Amino acid sequence: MSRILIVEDEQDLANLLTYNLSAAGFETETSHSGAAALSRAKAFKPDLVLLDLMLPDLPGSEVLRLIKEDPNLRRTAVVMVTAKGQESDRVQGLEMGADDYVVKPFSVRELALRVKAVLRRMARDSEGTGVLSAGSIKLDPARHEVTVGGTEVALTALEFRLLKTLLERPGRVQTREVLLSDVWGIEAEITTRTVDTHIKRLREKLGAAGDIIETVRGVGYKLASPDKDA
Amino acid sequence: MNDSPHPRRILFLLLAALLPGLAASIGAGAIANVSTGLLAGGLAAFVSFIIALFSESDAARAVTLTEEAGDARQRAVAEERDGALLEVQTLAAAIEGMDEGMWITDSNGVVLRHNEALRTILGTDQELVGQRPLFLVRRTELHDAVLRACREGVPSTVEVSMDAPRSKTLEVHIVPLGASLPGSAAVFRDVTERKRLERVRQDFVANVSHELRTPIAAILGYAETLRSGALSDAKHAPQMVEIIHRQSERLGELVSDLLELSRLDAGERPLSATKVLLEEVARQASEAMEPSAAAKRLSLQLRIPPDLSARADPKALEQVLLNLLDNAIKYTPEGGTVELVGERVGDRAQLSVKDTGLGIEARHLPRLFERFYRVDRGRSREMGGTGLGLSIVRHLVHGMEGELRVASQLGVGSTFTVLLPAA
Repeated sequence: MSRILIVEDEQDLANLLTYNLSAAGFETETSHSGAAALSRAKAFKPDLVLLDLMLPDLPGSEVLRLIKEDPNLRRTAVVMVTAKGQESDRVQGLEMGADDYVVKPFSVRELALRVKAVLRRMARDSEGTGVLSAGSIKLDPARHEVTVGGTEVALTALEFRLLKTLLERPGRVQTREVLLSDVWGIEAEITTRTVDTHIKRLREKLGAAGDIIETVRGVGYKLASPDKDA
Repeated sequence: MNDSPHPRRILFLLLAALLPGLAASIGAGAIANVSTGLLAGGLAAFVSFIIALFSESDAARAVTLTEEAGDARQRAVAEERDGALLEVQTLAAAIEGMDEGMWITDSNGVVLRHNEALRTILGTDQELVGQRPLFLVRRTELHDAVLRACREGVPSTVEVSMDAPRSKTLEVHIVPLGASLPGSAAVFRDVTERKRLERVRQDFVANVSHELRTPIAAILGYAETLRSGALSDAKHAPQMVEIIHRQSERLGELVSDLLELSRLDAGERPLSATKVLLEEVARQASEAMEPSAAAKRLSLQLRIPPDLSARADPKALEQVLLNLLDNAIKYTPEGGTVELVGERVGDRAQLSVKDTGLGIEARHLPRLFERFYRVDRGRSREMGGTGLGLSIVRHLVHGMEGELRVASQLGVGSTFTVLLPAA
């Protein structure tokens, strides 16, 4: 049973989410502030955090950043819940590594479906036929581990999935729209800068080995073909 | 005096080129600001220079004229000179009287002239004449725009933000002077305040959106949950209906408060100024609040001289007191005291709502009357309320030509004071 941490300061909404997600078969806990959520997350080890962006103590974006930077939590999926309705907040959240978002007022049924879809994508990350590699980069889906020249690189779940997607399709150009759809599960109504931000971060984490991810100007990205690389 | 071959021609062309550019860029508002008494500084010197030019060349020319033709010619020259002088003076006064800063550059973008307002806007005492834009305002976009106007004759408007000497945003309109006279003119407008107001408006819209969506999300969510099966959940269904009811009420209150604020803003609620016996209004308000006070075992006391009166709108004043009493009761722990005290202070009547409540930290006091400003979001949600109450109170008090004050000490209590003209 997947565990979900609900971070929502409106008691009525927190209860609404608890009721519906429990009914959908999830184990839930609730935190009413950002600080409480961070400490609760460490003990509860949720698979997914449902994070309201307007919290009384910390901005939700800050909670998201702290989750993604914590070595023990960085693979936890985060779905943002926002009432602001401004695209900039959502885009910022996605660029910071959120896996999906829902806008208040939301349909509880749709929210449950989104949560399930994110968890399904996470489960797929560990599927696959053995270790994928390109140059000095090795990605082990089963162990959820990425190494460069034998040294482990700490990636968030999204970065891991982005790299895995590229490694599975060497030498083929992936448009930003395709990546958004296959990695984030988002249909591309939202800005595609989210992809660029994550590619940039992924390259930084991979160091010199990251050069294997090539930018195809005006189109998207591709992993340099192994033959060209050799 | 001047080494250039045709100084007068250049100056005339400069002014001729400037006039349409100016009219286009500063608009009627700035022209209306002009006062002829403002002939000062750099442009005054500019004008005296032109006067000197005219006198000198006219004198030299007059010698060569025959006597009878000379008179007529001299009159014509004098008229031409007077007309041109008047135009130059008007223009100089107009430029000098502008709120906007202005400079004129040569074909390389080097500043030739400017008005005094430009110094104020740029916040500098340094010499501006002879400098390039990039030296005066360290923003390449402005520099590039000036050069574009000079070299390609392209007008543009750029927005530049400055950090020093203090943070401000300028809107600069740059126009080429024209083909016959290379160079450019730029008008600087300080738009810092406008930008701030835009941000306030955006914040307000974002806040309203958040405040409206939250109850809607709860109503919609619980209704959907009930419809998809929870209706037969005998334990939870009644609670869900209760929440839908409560959140609908909250939504209703929020909408009324927003409408009330917007009416007050638009001046659509005219307030009367009649003689009001304060004790009477205060008694009505405190009687209305008595049940909530009693529910928290608070002592609600009224101490107002029966003859104390003020010029006010009785309905608005009652609304003010209801709001202040409601807050005082909400934020005072059980067993505390809320007092409504009246007294005359000089030519004003003063009503104070004092509580023995939680108190407010000093840093929150200046922002307390802002819309949706909350000292403690979690706590104010517990207490209910729209976040607009004090904002409405302030509007109403100001509408009655009164003053609203707040004093508070953490852990001791708060006092909200309304001062109204005595009657």
